[in-house]
Amino acid sequence: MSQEILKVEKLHVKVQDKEILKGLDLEIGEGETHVIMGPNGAGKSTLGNTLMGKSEYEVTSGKVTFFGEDLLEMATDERARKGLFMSFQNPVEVPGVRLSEFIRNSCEALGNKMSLWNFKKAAAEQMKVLNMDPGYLDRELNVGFSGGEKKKTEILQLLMMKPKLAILDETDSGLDVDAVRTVSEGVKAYQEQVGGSLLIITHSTRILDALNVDKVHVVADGRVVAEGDRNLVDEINESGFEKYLKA
Amino acid sequence: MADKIMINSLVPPTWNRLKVNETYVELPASVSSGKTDGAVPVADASEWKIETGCGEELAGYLENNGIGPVKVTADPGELTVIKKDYTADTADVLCFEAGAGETVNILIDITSDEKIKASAILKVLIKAAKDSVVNLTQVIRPGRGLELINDIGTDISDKAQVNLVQIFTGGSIINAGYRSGLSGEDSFAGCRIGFIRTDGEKLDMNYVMKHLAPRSKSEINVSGALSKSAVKIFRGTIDFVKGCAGADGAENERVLILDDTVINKTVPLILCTEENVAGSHGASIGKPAEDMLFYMMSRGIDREKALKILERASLEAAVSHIADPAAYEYVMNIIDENREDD
Repeated sequence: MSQEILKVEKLHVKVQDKEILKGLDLEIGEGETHVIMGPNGAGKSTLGNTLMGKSEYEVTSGKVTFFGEDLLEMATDERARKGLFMSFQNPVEVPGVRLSEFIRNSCEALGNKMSLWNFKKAAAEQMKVLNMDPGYLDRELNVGFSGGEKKKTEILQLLMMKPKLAILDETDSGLDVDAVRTVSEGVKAYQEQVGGSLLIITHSTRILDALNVDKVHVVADGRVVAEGDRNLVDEINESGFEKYLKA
Repeated sequence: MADKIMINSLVPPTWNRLKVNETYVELPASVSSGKTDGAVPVADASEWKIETGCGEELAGYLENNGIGPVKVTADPGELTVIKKDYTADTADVLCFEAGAGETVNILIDITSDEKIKASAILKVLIKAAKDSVVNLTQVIRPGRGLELINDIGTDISDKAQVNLVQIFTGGSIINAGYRSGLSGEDSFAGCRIGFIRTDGEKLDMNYVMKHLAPRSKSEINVSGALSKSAVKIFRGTIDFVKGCAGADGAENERVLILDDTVINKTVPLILCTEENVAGSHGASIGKPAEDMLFYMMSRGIDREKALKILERASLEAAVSHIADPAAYEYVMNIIDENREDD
């Protein structure tokens, strides 16, 4: 394994008094692509939200380090500035805030201050990858966006912010085949341009078709119950999660 | 000696204990007339007797001080920019007219130096002839020493429309009045208002849409942010007068409350003496949603900066409705300049 950047040890998390993660372990190395699969309610999205620091997700025990530092001690914005990113399953609408202003502010917060000219040039290049009209930059963030537009906007942010580890939470859900392909191209561009690590949380496997996958983790009932290489994806596609639920 | 007058009165009044029925303001015993490039006194002032949101007592005060209406010619299709940089107690009554079928774009930019302590009154009267469009944008951003009354009255003819976008920042106390007389069939009046009030600043508004003609339409949309002991009162009245069958009026307000020290009062009022009309009001008032802040923070933006961005978004929600591209660019440049200052 390459240099470890994220280490999750025996993580227990509860939401509104219900324990969701029950001792989850995970290690991700620099530049690696990991996939988390599992049935509904297994705790996949809980893992993503906990890593990003959402307040409703209470860590009751366990440890998470990011580049050797205690991630759980950091506020959400600090986690992002350390290089963590999450593509949201349902990104919120923020009326009145233009997409361009939001991404420019985010880049600036991450130490990449750009003139408006340079920002627009950089954004236009990345939007080409995602087959997005640059006119989107002037639209209010996620307001009135379709599901596909929202997901593309998340990946645009990924490409502009260039994080060290990106969590993609069900980025392919609710998308048609063409939209999945476009989003997948964007994720591939992130791998090529940035060489960062990926933690892809998914139900389906369409988004993985164009990507190099290093490791697959099956999560059931709040724990990792199986691990393997890309072949595990094919096995799950064929047999489903049933055998892991019984394990 | 200062004159005390009543402005922004609600018709009809509600409970006194709510302290929203009217506002009393102290005005200087005398004010001088402001200067506006290209403005000429109107030939017959009686032709410009248009009711406004602030009301009759303000009109009386101006008359007593010899402040008469002056007409500014706005060339159709071009943007007429009027800059008001106040340095002393000043009052103006500016009149604009759009002829039949014309589109007139006006931008009024109100400023004052931070060190200036003064009272200013700006009254704007608009006549929109048949099939005309008047797009009025006001950027109201004076220094903290200025107390301002900004008062508007319109008379809108058949199939004509008046679109108002107002941005309020700065100034210690701003009293804003607006009244649209929708006297023409199928006429339209729209108001998009964005405000940021902080550090004890006050904004007192009285906006009235008077539907006098069939199928007239009106919209009032207010979005703003309040913090640090700021005070805001919004009175929004849609008045359906008998004979305005098929009229439609809507008012909406979205206010972001950024801390517990602010006072926010909202008085939506729909008056109706005509049966076949549609009137609605809605309001969303509260602290920023935690989900929204989490999303912004997940991009590395700290909480304080995220709140600043949301605050500014209140203005942009209004600015995005400026119809004239040159006016839009003018206002966005001001907002972007402030962004760079943050």
